[in-house]
Amino acid sequence: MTFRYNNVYINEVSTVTGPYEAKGPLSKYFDKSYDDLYFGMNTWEQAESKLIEESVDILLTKIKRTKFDIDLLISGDLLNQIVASNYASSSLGMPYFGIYSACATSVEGLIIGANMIEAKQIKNCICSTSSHNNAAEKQFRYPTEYGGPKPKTATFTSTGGASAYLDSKKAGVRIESATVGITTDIGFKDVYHMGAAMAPAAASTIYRHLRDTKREPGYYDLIITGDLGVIGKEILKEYIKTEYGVKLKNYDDAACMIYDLKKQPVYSGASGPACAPLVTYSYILKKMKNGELDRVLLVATGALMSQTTVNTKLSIPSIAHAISLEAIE
Amino acid sequence: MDKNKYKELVSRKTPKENVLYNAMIAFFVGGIMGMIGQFLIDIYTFFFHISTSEAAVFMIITLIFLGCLLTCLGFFDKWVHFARCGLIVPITGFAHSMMSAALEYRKEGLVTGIGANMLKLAGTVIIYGVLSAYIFGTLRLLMLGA
Amino acid sequence: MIYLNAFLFSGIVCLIGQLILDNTKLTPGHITTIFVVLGSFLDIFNIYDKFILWAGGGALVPITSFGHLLIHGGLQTAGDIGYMGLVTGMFNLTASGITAAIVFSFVLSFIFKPKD
Repeated sequence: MTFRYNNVYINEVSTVTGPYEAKGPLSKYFDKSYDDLYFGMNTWEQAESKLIEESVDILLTKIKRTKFDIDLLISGDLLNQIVASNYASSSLGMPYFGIYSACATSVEGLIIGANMIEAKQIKNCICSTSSHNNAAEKQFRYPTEYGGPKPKTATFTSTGGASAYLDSKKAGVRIESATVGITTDIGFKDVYHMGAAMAPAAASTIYRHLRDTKREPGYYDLIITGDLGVIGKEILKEYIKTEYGVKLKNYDDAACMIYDLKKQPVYSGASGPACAPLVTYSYILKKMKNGELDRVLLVATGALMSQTTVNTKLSIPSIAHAISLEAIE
Repeated sequence: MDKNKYKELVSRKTPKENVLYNAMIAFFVGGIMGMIGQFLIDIYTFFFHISTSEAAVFMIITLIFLGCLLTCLGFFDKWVHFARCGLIVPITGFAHSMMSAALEYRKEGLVTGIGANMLKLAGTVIIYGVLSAYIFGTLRLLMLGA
Repeated sequence: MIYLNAFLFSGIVCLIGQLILDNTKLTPGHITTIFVVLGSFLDIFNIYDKFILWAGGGALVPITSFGHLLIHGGLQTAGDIGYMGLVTGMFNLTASGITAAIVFSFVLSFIFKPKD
């Protein structure tokens, strides 16, 4: 399922991060960073909600609008019942769709928003997502002060909130096309190896996107996956070649870009719904506006399991949504 | 690609854990913990003039207290992450798991938060300890009498 | 001498745990559970008592000693009052550890909060 768009643009973006991202190589590209993980709130869940709220507030300031000018807020996160988005939406006061596809949420939101703008059902929308390292650890793994050892394949949930303002006004970057993912389950069960769990989904979506748009991988100046990590990246390169005959060119992964993998204790890279948009909205879009990158394919990947399904020994299904961005002359 | 072929691809690309290094660290730190335990027993018997078994009780309580306190101070999780089983297998691991759960869930209420979750990680130790002690104890009594 | 034994015993138990952790999909929770059961098993024939004599604190520090104390307390009371003693006496020797852990965890959680 691939959509084409004639009149949808990401006019403006905003990014708010936690301390680890602020110590990484992309720190100067973020709008705001915090140096602790509470952000003045009482619990991790409230802190994550604040990330969404604040990134939307910063975005509204940048586009000089108020909440009454926004037709729709589409947001999602990793928390149970997506409460970070729910509580942020309550403060923000816009019509709201809560969505979930784990770490692929950001692109899922962009696709839904873009479709509604293209169909002229709405004039504009804001697509948000967030993740919080401690909130995710508490929910999916261990209490945050527990030092349970992790293997090298583990990833480090990023902390941040990222929002994008979509409109049919020609500014920023153009959303050119998008491909909806199909949930893939190759029978993989290791929750500490998310990159391996999600690579098949990324491969399937990239292949179907290129097939539907009749393009070669080299058409894009950059194909960037959301959070496969260092090891997942290598797995994808080989898997997509063996399974679909696609040789990836100009390929990188956001999880490998947001942290200094040598200096920061982040195992094989970042994860979390915020990882892909934090890197794309801050760093990649800037490069597109500078003219360094013309055509970018963002492929966000998500692992769709829960703690319960893991305990009952089910495998991890995953999904990848792709969106193609084009620089404006 | 079928499941097994994919697993084979994954394990080819996955770096191996430093098994030998981890084992040496766990051995060394675990050994030091054993020595600390013995040292505490000696101190308590010497200064408080109590029997060895009483001193052992105090030693366990001391290690539990240290495990809890160091967890609260925020850096014990990094030590546990480094030493792995060297700090998880000793009684400090038990205290660490209870303390970290208590810290995490305190904000969710006395009953629904800390009450329901303090034994989240340590509960298995108590449950299977009691179960196994009951089963093995019964076996022993059947075989050898009391 | 006992210090060397303490070092060796405690170190070897942790080493075995680490090898299990790295070579299987078992978690720290599984490993501590296995060792508790092991400690209790080793006392069926009083083997763990001999370890304590040999290694002193080194045999009391690992979580295996918790299993040993559970079965030991039960068997001690069973020796006094018969089979029911196994059930009534099980927590005699471990009460101090569990009580301490609960009290310390509870009180300290009101003074500190998680950081990371």
